[in-house]
Amino acid sequence: MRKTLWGMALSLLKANRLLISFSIISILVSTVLVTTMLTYSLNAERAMEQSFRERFGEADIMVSYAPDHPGVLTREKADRIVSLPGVEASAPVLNRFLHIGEMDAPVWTIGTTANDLTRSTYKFTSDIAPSAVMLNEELARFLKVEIGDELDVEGMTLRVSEMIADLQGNISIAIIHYDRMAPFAEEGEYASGLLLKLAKDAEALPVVRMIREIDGDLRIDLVEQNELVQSNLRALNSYIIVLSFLVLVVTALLVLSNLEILLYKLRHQIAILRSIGAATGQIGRIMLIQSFVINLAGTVLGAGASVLAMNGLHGAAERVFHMPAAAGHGADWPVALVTAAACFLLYQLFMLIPAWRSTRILPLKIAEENERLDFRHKKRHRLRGLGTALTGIVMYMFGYVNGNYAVLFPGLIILLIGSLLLMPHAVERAIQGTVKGIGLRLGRLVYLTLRHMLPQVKRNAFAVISIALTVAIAVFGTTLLSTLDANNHRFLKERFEKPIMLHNRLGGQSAIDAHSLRETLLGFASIRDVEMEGASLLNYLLLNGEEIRIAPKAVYSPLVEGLKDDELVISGEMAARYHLQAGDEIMIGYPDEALQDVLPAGVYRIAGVSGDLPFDEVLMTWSNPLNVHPAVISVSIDPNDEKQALADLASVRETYPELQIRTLSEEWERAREGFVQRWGIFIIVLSVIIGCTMAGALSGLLNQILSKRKEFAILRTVGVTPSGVAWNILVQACLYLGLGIVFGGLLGLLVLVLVVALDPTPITFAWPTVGLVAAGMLLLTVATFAIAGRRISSGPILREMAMDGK
Amino acid sequence: MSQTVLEVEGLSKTYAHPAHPVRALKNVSFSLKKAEFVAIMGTSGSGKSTLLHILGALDKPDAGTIKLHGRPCDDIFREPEASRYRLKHVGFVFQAFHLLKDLSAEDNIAVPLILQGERESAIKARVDEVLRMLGLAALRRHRPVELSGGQQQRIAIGRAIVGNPPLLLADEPTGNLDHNTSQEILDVFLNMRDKREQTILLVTHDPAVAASADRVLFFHDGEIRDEYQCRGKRDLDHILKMFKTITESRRGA
Repeated sequence: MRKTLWGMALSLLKANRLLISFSIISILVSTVLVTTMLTYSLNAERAMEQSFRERFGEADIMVSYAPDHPGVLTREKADRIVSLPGVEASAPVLNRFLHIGEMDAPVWTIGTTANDLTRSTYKFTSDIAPSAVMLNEELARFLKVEIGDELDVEGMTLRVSEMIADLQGNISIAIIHYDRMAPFAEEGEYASGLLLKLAKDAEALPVVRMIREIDGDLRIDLVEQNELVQSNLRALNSYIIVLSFLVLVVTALLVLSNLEILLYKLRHQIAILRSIGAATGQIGRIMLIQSFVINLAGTVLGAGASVLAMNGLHGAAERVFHMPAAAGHGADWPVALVTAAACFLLYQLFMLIPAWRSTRILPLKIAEENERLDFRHKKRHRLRGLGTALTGIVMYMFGYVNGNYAVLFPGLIILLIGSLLLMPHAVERAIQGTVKGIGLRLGRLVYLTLRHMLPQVKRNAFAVISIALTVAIAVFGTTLLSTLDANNHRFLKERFEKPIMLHNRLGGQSAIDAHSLRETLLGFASIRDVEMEGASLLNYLLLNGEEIRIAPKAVYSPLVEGLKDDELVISGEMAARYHLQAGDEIMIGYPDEALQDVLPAGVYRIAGVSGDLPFDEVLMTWSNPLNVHPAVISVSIDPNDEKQALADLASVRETYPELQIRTLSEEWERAREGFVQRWGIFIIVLSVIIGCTMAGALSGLLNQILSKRKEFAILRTVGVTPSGVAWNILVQACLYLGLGIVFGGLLGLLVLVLVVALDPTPITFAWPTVGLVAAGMLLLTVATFAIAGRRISSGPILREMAMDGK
Repeated sequence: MSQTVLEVEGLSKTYAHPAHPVRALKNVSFSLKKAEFVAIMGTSGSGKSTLLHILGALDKPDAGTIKLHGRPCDDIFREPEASRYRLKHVGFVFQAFHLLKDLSAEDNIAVPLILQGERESAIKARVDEVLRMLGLAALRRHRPVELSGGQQQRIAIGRAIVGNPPLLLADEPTGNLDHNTSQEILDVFLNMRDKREQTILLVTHDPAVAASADRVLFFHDGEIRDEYQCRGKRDLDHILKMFKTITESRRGA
């Protein structure tokens, strides 16, 4: 050893290599956690916005008139809009239903020019030549065309230049050059809509205001205000706040619990050094050197590990989740290094403050405090926890009732803090209860283990809480993801009444006979039930001199079962408003275009009232005389065997090619992909966080166990067998783990319930994933501590007795 | 005639080292009778602690036999038999006390009985008895760090005897204590010998401690060089003289 303070400091460190390693690991893990969370928080919103851009395109604003507005977007108006300050790029878009192909199918057609805006919005890549048309893949299959084929578009012969991937919702679109669409525009109409891209620093709302000043009737769609974007960003922000809090707490705990053992050693050194005359400054230098070495190693390794982990995982996610490379953002070195530096300073404080405090008090007092197993002023500590929790509840409830997030979120955090303060007392009670309740019935070794653990309140608390937080993070994170996922599913299921839907792309122009189609479909053994909907028509209810607009629709569904051809089912709202009920007879009228008047069509009987119908919707049979356009618009199919049903439907399409087949499972897949793209990064971050906290918690436990080697040796001298010692270790570790899992599950649920209450949707618990995390921890714990126990218990007793830990 | 509790025959132990192998014990033989208090005295490195560690199955001899109550203890140097031997047949008192510092005084004493599977009520009664005997009843709830050295050593003795082991081994039990406290501890040992017929083998380098015993074995260089039967009169003088003779012959050699 070099005979200097530096030399002394370093040799004291060298003598405790194992302990130092654990301390470095805890700092490494904590740095990874903080860096990961910080990087994610900084980039999450951007990444999510980017994934929405992938979906909605680069346009920030879309300007148009409402469909029923009489006005048109003229060239002059468009020029004024695009020259507004803040508008960086623009693209005019003309859109109409044009008739395409031999069947004259009406297809939503976009007329525009090719630039980054239109390419990102409509997902094509090449230029749009005046002689070209682009189709989505499904439409191309329907029209039986391929790239290079000619196609009739409203009398124009155009060549198919590109196939676009099918959009969600199976919308068919065609894209042609703006000039080709211009003849179909209304007089004076320059564009049906304008796509605008704002400059990087420009704010959307001032630009919106300026557009409104140009024309207050214009409809302005902000991508950032899109409901899906908004709700996802809201969810994201809520979850980042809660997850950041949990990560910070678990990070602090990991550091504190591991460093506590190190600090014991350091304080012990201080006590001895002070008792032989070391000055405060000298002790300070020794502590500084030791803590500096440990922290530097931990934070630098942590920064490196976090960059590698995030980049590595992003790469894996791109392959596994098919995330776009630009959507995610791996941890970058500048952020990692700055975070590491901040962590370094924080950990130095963590270590130096208690060490510094020890230099201010007499050596014996240091020794006395060093041996403290329990919290100082226990009752006060418990009351503080209760008070904090109650304050948090009150703030949360106040914020919830008044919709005041500024009070609600702090209330939630305070409630969590209170719960964490109370947890050590709950752990103590749990162990006490186990000892008293089951006691010797668990076996004398287990009993001895529990009795031995009981006084170590602080140590128990650290171990259990760090595991509990790991589980809480797993419960919270995985359950919110599966809730979001299930919400997507629920939304889709609401749109899909049955697993298979057929949509008639020809709409009212189709000549499909509903009855024969239904019989054909029901003829397949793979199809259990078929419901159909016809076109929504325009009629009037003539009542008390009023002409009340109604939209009758022919359906094949249980709602019209037993309905006669002169009977109707009306909505509950209409029945209530006009005091109508089943059995009443009503006069129905039809609009006569020639006379520009409503003429009576006949008297119909109200057969039923349905609360599920919109106000003006009226249901009738297909053979009802009011069904003047008996086209089949959509068909809902309930299959016995979905795969076979789809094969059978493929053959039906030979006869009825205008029928588009959509399945819930395909839509679900597509929605899933979008979901994973948006939340894939969160999945990565969550995996890193769970992995790190598991590693940190287990490492902390291992450190604790190893610091008690002398005590295990003493137990052997009084007759505990080596297998008994190994069993003792395993019981301790598993008890900490078991309590941690239970408390963590409860804490995670509490957090989840409180956060999800903000946006009331049913919670879907990811039990399999949480179970996997718990099982993984259990397996790791058993494996690690079985090996550790074996090693500790098989060492020579006299050597083990010389190991002085805590 | 008092029965023989312990018989040691030809015990040897060498610590291997490439440069200097250390022969800690060389063919040591002796016996102990029931309720006999024997002190082993010797200079540092004479092998006395090694002997105690072997008798306590904390270490393993290279040669020799040990018999407890006439039965050979061939298998006590292998686990788990070693631990069972320690639990049932031996109580060990260390110089550094080696208490479980997170447990209270009464819990420390209770540990062997818990391990032996005794009922809680029986444990409580026995621990109370030992605490009273050792004068520690008022300190039962205190942790070792809150107690003096003498009090801690008494707890260690309590833990060693609570299971009524046939043999009590004490390795320099007064080594960390002052004279008065040492005397208190010795009184405890004597009390146990007299009242409970406890057989005690105690290692010490302190002649005053050795003089309290019934018999003293003088160790030097891994061997028993001499033996002295205490008569109760001028034992200390005799012990000092014999010790001096041995150490001087060592210097001479």
